[in-house]
Amino acid sequence: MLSKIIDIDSARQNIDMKVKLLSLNKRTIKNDRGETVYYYGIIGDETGTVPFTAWVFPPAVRVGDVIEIRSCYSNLYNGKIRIYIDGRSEIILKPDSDIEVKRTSDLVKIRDVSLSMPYVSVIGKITGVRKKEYENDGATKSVYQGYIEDETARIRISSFGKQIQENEVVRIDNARVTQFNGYMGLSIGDSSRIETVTANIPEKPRHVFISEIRSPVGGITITGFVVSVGQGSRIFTKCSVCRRIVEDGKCKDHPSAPVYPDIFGYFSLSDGTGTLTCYINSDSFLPYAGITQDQFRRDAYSMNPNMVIRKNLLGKCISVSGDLRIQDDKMTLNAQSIRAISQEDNREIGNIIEEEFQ
Amino acid sequence: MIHKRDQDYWIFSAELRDAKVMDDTAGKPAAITPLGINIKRILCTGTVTSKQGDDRMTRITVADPVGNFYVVGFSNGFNPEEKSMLDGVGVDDRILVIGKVSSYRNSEGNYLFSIRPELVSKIDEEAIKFWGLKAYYFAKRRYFAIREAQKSEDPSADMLKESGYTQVEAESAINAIRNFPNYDYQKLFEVIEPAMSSMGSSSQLPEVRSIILDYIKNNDLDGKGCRYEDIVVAAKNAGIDQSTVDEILNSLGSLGEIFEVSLKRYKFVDTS
Repeated sequence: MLSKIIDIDSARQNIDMKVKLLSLNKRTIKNDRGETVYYYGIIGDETGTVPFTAWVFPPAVRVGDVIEIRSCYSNLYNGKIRIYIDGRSEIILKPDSDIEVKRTSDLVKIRDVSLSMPYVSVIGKITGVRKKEYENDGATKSVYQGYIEDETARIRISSFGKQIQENEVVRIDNARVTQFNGYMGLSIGDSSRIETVTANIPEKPRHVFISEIRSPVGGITITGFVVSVGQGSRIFTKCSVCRRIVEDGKCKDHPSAPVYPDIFGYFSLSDGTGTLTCYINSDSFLPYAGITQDQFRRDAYSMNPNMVIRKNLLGKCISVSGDLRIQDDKMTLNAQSIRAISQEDNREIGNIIEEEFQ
Repeated sequence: MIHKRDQDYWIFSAELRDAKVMDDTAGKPAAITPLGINIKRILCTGTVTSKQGDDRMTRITVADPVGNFYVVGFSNGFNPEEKSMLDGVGVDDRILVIGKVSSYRNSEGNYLFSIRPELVSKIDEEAIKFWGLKAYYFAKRRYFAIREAQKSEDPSADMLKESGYTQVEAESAINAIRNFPNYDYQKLFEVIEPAMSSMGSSSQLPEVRSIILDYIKNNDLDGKGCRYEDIVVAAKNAGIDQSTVDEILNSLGSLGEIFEVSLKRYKFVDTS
């Protein structure tokens, strides 16, 4: 007998179910025994949605397909029910079927948004709004892109058709969780709701521990010591219009546009709970190193970037703010600003300790 | 085979001092601390209080708020830079050290730990303070996790994670209970907590040094040197905690400004 998602409890064996595949991701993990590939995503039916992990998955099945899964099992993962599909399970494609999936979304903090939840509700302040137009079936449509941020993190949003206002504090229900180019995002579509709410979103650094990072959200700050500096730092030339790297000193798309030098570098930051690779460019590195843009433009091509980065960062205690990104299954941080640890930071840590342990 | 870089742990010298060596899951000896950390790599900060060496080896003592780390670099070791890194620092420098923890068992069967440096860097007072606060925060969280685990007859890491502890904290607590069933955690925190409450005192190190040096100079009334207990009492009256006194006595001794004339008696060295 086919089970419905709503009826599945924490630990059940031999479950048969008919579901729609809502998202599918592949991940490769490397360990002492070599490489292991597994799949994960979201499935749904008329009663709800649930994440799954599959050790085998037929390549012919695509997102949007209806499938029958036989002999799978359920278990708790991070406190939530998850379906597991292993070598004993069977997946049968049902090409002529469709399912109207009931979408449910929990209200979460932005830091906790992850692909394990297909739809979420969030409360936060809208920032960085840009309107873009695109053609769809001969009609011009609008998409509003920007960020939503709360006290824990910031995340990209794309709102198709529904207007969003700069600095407005809103609650968004039923936003679809996406991951594009390694960054986490929320997509606001026809089934999503946006309403203005009254909430205080404090404007202060959102400190996180590296061990607490679960998904590539943005606008976070990590404080620690630089424990190693990459030796692959380089100086690039970029186009001032499209900001892409140019070869031969000229942009192919904007040949008459001025070009400028930029620096690329990376280092490992340890905060006592883990180590994270951070990427820097001239916008984040030069102000910290006390190098002006004019100085950099003058000396960029004669400097040794590895030496400059090493001298300024290795062994230093710094606070790095930026956006997390997943690259090749590895979490990294694109630094937007770097500063040395201050008395104010230590005072704040002292307050946290006092509050937590009093 | 892919080797993941061992995480550097931020722990106080007092915790490392009480560690013991056990075989890890791969059957290799590894240090485990009373708060349950399987420590291979450490990141610590402190003030250099002594430096000794020859052509082959340099050894420095780094004082954190509660004791000393011993850092040793050899010129003919696996990393040829480790000695030169230590040669580049001097007594009273504030430094950061990242390195592998190395153990030695003395004839009485006790383990002594030293650090083989991978990175040594001079840092400022705020960085030292930052490390101290974070090391304290991590230690206290692990201690609370141990206390939580001790309440249960059959504690597990999953149970602790459900109570809000991180994976490392939960696993450390279980490790600690298994390997240090009779350890006196209160005693460890009796050393750490006063040092944390007077964290700012190291910023006045030069001033505090001269208070202690003047006391030793002016109170050696019988010529047998000042008693350690009297120095501690005098320092306490001046608002200086005992661990800072220890740190400064180490530093003054290594600079040759005082010497320990007999056990726990210190004498001023008049070089004028």
